[in-house]
Amino acid sequence: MANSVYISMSAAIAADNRLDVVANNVANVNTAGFKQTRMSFQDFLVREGPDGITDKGFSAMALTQTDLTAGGLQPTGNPLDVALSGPGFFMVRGPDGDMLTRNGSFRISADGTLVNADGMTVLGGAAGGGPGGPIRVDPTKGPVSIGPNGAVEQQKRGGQAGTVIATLSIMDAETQSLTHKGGSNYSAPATALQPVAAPDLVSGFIEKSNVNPVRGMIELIAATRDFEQATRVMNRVQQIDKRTLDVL
Amino acid sequence: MIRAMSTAATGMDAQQKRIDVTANNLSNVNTAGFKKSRAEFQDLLYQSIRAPGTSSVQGVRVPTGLQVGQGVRTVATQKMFSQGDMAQTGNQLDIAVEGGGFFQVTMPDGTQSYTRAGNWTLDDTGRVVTSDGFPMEPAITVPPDAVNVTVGTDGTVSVQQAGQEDSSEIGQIQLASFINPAGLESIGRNFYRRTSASGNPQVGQPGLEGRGTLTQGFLEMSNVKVVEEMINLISTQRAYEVNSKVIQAADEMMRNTSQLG
Repeated sequence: MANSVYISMSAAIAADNRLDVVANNVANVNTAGFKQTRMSFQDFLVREGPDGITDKGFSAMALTQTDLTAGGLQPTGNPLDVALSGPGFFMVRGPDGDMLTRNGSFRISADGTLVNADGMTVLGGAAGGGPGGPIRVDPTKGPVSIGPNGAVEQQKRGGQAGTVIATLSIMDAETQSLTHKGGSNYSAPATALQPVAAPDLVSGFIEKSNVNPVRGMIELIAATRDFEQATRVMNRVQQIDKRTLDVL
Repeated sequence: MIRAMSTAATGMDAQQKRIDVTANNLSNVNTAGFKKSRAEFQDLLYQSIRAPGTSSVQGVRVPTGLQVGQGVRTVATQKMFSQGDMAQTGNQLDIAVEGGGFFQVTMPDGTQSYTRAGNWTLDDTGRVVTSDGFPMEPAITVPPDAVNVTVGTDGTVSVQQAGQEDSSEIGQIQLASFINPAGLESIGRNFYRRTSASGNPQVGQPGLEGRGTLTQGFLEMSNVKVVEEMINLISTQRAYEVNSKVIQAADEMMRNTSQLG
């Protein structure tokens, strides 16, 4: 009897975890470059019957995975806003090492380094295809733009053709190897990183969050109902317990 | 459940900030030289319940971890310095900048500020001043008997005085450009102030080094696009609504829990 209470309790906890993940997804419905988290649940063996029939009951959230589906592109007209229309990530260097991000809202810091909204330096590509060093522009020269292949170009005096300063490092990694770091960044082991051969960038656009609010609402309703059901079972089990005690 | 509630609360807070920014953009839709802002968000820290790559059974690695996020935060409001629409006014002292430069203005306390608003006027001494009466830097004084003021695309200001056939040059407008204009601090009244993030101004003649050329008789209007802002408004309101639903759901679940037993 006690088992049924614990089984329904595990279902209630799983529903609670589900709500937490949905809450984070919908909170980031307007966060540029955000990728929604998907979750999967696992049931656990309770007992194995004599005729080989297994009884599974306990349920728990087993893993979360980043859904790397592309978000919609939003025009901003800002030359330093770039969105990746293909696979891959921009590389930024934070205090804890190099990180991957899909949020291409860049700017130039006072000393002429290309940085993201948090002030982390955006990395250029090294010769071997891996992430290289920071991208520096000359603060005394003209405006900076980013081309479709990731080339960072600075305009010269009087409308002459610009000079390509560096090329953005665009790396790809399997979704399993990504760890959320917050700040729209992910980290991945260096061995999991692979350079994207022909990156496809659009300048003047921002990649919107890929959270679908409709799906979020449905998940929300499902989590609430699952929880309700679990608590109902718990109540019922308790009633049965009580009745048994009355009989005794 | 408390986690879901506070996560949804950060979502509501972020959407509220976005509405604030949109409201300010919309209210300045007809302000000359106004540049719209954009609220930027990032997801908050993640709670790693199980890190990817850890072993579940000996020799078997969990392919992905279990991470639950904590919501969203507003990281910056970024000014968007795209060109505003040009409005023809025919006024001799309405000057628009086509490009990245800023006019320089000397504030009453002697500091420099920068503006894109080109609606200049003259004060009682003939100095070219903003509508607040702050003089342009370098100062340009129009003689009282001037009939015509001409501003060239390169910033040369010349006047034709009464009774004279030839016009004479009285000054040169200089523009300042910044390597990171988004880092300028807005101080209201269409003025910006330099910060360590914007870098030092590169002052010089219009038309050089991306500073942009001047057009007389035109005003640069605000770069706010009403349709865009309306769409932002709708999507923000809906996002706010969805986040409030999460709080409702968490509340309902807590009610269920409290009714147990």
